Amino acid sequence: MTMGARIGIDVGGTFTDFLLINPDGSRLVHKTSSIPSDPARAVTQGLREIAETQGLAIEEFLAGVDTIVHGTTVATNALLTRRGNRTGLLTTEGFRDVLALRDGTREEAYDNRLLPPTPIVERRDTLAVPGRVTSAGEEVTALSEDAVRAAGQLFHERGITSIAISFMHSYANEEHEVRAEQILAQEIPGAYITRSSELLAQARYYDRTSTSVLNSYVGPIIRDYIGVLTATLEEVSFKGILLIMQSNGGVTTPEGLTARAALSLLSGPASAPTAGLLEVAPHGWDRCLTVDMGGTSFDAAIVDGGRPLVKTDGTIDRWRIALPMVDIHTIGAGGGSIASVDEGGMLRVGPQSAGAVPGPISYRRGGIQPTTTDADVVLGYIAPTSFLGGEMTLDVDAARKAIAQQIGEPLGLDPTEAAAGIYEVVNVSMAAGVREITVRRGLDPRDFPIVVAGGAGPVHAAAIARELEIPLLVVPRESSIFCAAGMLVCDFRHDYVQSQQWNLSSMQTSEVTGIWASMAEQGRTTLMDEGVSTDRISFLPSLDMRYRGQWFEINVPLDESSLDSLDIAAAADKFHQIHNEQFGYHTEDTDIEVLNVRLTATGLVEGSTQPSEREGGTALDAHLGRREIWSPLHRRMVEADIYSGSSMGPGAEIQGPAIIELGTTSIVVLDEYDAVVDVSGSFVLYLRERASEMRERIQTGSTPVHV
Amino acid sequence: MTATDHAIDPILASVLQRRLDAISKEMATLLMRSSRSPIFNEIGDLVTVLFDARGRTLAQAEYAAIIAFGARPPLDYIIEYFGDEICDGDVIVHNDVFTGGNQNADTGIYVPIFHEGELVAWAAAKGHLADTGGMTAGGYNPAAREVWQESLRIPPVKIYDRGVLRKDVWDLISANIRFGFVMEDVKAMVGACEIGRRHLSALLDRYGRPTFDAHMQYVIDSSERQVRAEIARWPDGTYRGESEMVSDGIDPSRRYRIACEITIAGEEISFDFSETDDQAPGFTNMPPASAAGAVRIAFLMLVAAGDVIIPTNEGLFAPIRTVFREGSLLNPRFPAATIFGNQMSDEIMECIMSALADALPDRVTAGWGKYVSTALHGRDPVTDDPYVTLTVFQRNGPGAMQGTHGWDAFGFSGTAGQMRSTDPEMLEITSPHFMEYHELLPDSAGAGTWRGGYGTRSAWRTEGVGAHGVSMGEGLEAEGALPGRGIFGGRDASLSRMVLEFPDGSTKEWGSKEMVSLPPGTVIRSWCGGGAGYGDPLERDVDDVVAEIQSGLLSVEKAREDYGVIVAPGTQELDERATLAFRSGAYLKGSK
Repeated sequence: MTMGARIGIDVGGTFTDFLLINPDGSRLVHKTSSIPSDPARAVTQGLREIAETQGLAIEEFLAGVDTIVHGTTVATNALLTRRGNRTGLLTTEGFRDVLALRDGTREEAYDNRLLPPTPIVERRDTLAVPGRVTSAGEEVTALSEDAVRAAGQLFHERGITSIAISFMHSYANEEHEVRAEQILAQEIPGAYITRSSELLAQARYYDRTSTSVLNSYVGPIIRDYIGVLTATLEEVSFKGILLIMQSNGGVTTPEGLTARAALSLLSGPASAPTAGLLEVAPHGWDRCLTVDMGGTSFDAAIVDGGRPLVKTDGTIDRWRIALPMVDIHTIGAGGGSIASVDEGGMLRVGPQSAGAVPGPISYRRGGIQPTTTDADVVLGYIAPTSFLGGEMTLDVDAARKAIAQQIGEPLGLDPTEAAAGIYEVVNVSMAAGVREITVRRGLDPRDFPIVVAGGAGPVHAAAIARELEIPLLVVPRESSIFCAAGMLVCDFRHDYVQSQQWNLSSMQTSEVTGIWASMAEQGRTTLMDEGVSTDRISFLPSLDMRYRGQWFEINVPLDESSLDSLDIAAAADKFHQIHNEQFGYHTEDTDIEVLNVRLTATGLVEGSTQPSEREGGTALDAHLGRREIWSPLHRRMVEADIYSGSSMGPGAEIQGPAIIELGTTSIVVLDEYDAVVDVSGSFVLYLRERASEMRERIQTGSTPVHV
Repeated sequence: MTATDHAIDPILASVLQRRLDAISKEMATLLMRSSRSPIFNEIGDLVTVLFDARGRTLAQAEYAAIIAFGARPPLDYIIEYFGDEICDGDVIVHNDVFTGGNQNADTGIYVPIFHEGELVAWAAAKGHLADTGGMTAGGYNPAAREVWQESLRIPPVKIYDRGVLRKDVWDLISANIRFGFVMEDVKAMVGACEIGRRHLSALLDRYGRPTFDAHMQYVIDSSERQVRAEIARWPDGTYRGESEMVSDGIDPSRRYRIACEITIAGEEISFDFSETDDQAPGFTNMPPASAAGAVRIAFLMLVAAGDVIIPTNEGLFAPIRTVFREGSLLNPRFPAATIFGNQMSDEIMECIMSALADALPDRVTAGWGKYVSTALHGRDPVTDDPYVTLTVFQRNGPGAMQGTHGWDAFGFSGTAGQMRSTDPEMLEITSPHFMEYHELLPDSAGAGTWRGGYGTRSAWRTEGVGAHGVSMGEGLEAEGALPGRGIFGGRDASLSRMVLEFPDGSTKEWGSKEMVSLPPGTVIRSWCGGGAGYGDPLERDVDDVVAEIQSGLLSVEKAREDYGVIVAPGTQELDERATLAFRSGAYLKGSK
């Protein structure tokens, strides 16, 4: 197959972003308005617009495209707005409230006014049927097929066509669930049925049930959306491969996602870590942190050893989703976070947000409480006239006045100091969020460069890096296509799990390798159906282990060679080592239990996204002038150089303190940092005191010129 | 330079407060993930705290609230006890209830933090150990009459001295505890404190001690200012409330009165429990550290109801005074047995909420379904391993409050919704129990304009060898307990019941504080009551009532009786005319 062009498409709430990468490596970025009522139409609309810029009809243009990778928030939006399909749940008799009871906790300890999360399945649509197996998979009570049939009829009468089946211990014995699925399929023609043992053969009844219910709730929505999308693409004669982004950081085909729809929940930002890796890889890192700061929230994720880190205990809208998904930690801090002084005289920023409306005071949309963005404006980080490419002028005076009255006066600070306080407090919160995701895995944030995205990200990133003692950060030139770029390099990924209760030292290795073999077979078949050739398929076997008596498992990745023969002693060593890294101790005198057998099947995508060399000017060409910005180091306003980012080409370098204007946002280069444009056109900021070490690594595509 | 004349940067104060908060949370995260006992890592019965040099709370991550507030009092004693002998590298362990502890099983690890040769702070981790010696595994035994039967007493002792493990002391403690994994949990607690020490030292290196101390003082003062401003808005006066404990574990017919006089005066509030009955002969006594913790939980709920968020530190509780008469149930004399004490958090909550109902009607909750659960221990028939299972999945419902129904299956007030419930599959995987059912208990919520939370119904069979179980709770129908009271026209909470079905076919009502032996095959059936209602049930939204009928939680009969909501015969659809007629008729009757 000759290599054609590839397109990444990221459907967001407001805009649908396109990134076209031609076979020669040249790129085209395009943006079109999203159409929430019919998201697929925005996709073809954008493709049509791109074709027009090239003077082609859409059919001609798509003839030269062999892959489209697509990220969608269709499922997430359906869930968050509770516009998914009315869903029925079939449980084991005696466990009708497995969902409502969740894990038994309330998110706020003392707040008796807090309401439980809105159910995804009503209790009346939860039906419980007799039939029970033990944790060892032995049948205790036979499945009542009559009860299943009656339940199916009731669902049918109520017009419910989305069903989740989740029985106690079905991970150990799936027979009852399989039979129930057959019966329900007969009773409810065309039903979308999720069988928990098929989706997630893993112990913990609430986790498995909640995940299954989420899958059925959004399943038909995804199925219909993908149907419309593929039909629309067929209409315009697209003959290439359509791939969809999953929340585990891999891609799959439309058919693959239809059965595991829950994998599209939170898939939007799932390509960010891979995109981050793309930014740091030219400089020799296989690890990074990605941070994305928007209007209301701050997301952070980690890539380590070339792979995005995943978790299996995530939640969405307060419901558990236990499928492996990219570990993205979100905290309520963004440009719209509201600053206030409490009655005790402490400055607080967030978690309340002014959102888009009324928004920050400086946006002139009726906001009356100062926000992070207002502080950024007062501190000179965001130029009032350059915001959104000059389309909107920010009201600096109103922002300063509100900060003076609401923050400065109560704290006895002048308006600038008060704004600097807001900036610092929000930065500390975000840094704490980043710390949390690293330390809970035993990682040291100082070892990771940061890749920064989002409107407010570049304004705050250097300060966050400073707080975490991180020497290097990268700001991509166009952060809007950051996720779309990541999608184009995400591999195919399918995860398999089977719960067991084994003692590591006494288990039969043939049993483990047998399970892996059947998972690998399943993975191979799926990947080959997706068009991946055998030589591009690889497997990552792993075991979830714990010391006997512990309740939380640690995922221990093993070599691919373990598939043929598992070295138990080596697996134990690896477990001890990871335990020691994460928790500061390990112990040789306790048995190790194996809880889950896992396999990840990966299919490498073809092609490279190395961009062609960019053209562009030096710092001198890009110099716009000077203005005063806040220096956290000197704790006062200082004169700083202002540059136009679009005029800076690879190799252009500047010294902090400085501002690089990017039209939609600006990069704040603090006093301690210098910045250089790298070979991909991204802006790399590094601690000046570690300049020689960092500059060695940073690839600019030209001989570095030391100032 | 003293703390007060150091220049204050209010921004740095906010920043340090956030950093300390993050450190305490990181300690708790590591502790939960690395510990062995499900009581720690699955249920989260633990807390991690940072204190200043004087032992004042700077920040804490509380999972089990009752333990959280019980971590501080022992430190006063430790500081006094060791005096100048507190050294860098020491690790001190403590559990004794007669030197500040809240419960013998709730054991604390305290690590002094030094900076430039001076003691500057403390890191602590405290949690419920699965066993601490005494006559019964897990410690809960109604037969206990004195402290030694319940636990090995550990007034403070150093297990590390200047960084060196005191192997003899370690082995002494280990030798008096039944389960080997308990000491592994102690190691995990030491590890968590070490993390806290490392991070706090780094902060002190960065800012220096004078700046650190001065700004933490500002943080404490600011919480105090905030809470004083809040109390000032509460109506001044003296308010009285009481509650009743049924059975002391020895005599099921014994009744004990818990009584509280609350005085709000300007910015201060006092809780005087002097009128509470004398201490009990058995284990139903509450150490003052535990009682003070329960008062704080109720207080924080009242504050949270006003949408006020105050960082938890020493200042938050500065304007609160608590009085527990020596020799009473809430401050028993040495050497009383006390291990049931934490459980009496429900009685304290009830006293306080009922006392303040008229003063703070928009903040109090109606009466709660009182907590009852069991501790089970024995040996696994297959692996022969010992186990201790706390059946914290048994959940009662809390009382309603103005504008909000009670949170279904909330459970114990003392852990304030932070204690996880064991997943039924994990229960069966990790202990020899088989769960027959575990669901919300229909018709258990007290009616009201806002209803109480629903309780739960559960049944499980135990196959443990040599197994015993101890019930720990209150509010059993069979003992004639009084239900939690409804307020402003709301109906009372419902009572609970536990029945044992032995393999020989005989059955027994399980008392609220009673140890029983459990032959393999015994089935335990439990009905945990819901919470009481707030406001006239006839004012409750009709559609909300109908939806609850359709959900299967509210019977047609109870809907009619309590709410005057009538469905068309043979259906679950509203009969609007009949409902209107019934409700207006009920009003007329009510107005006569």
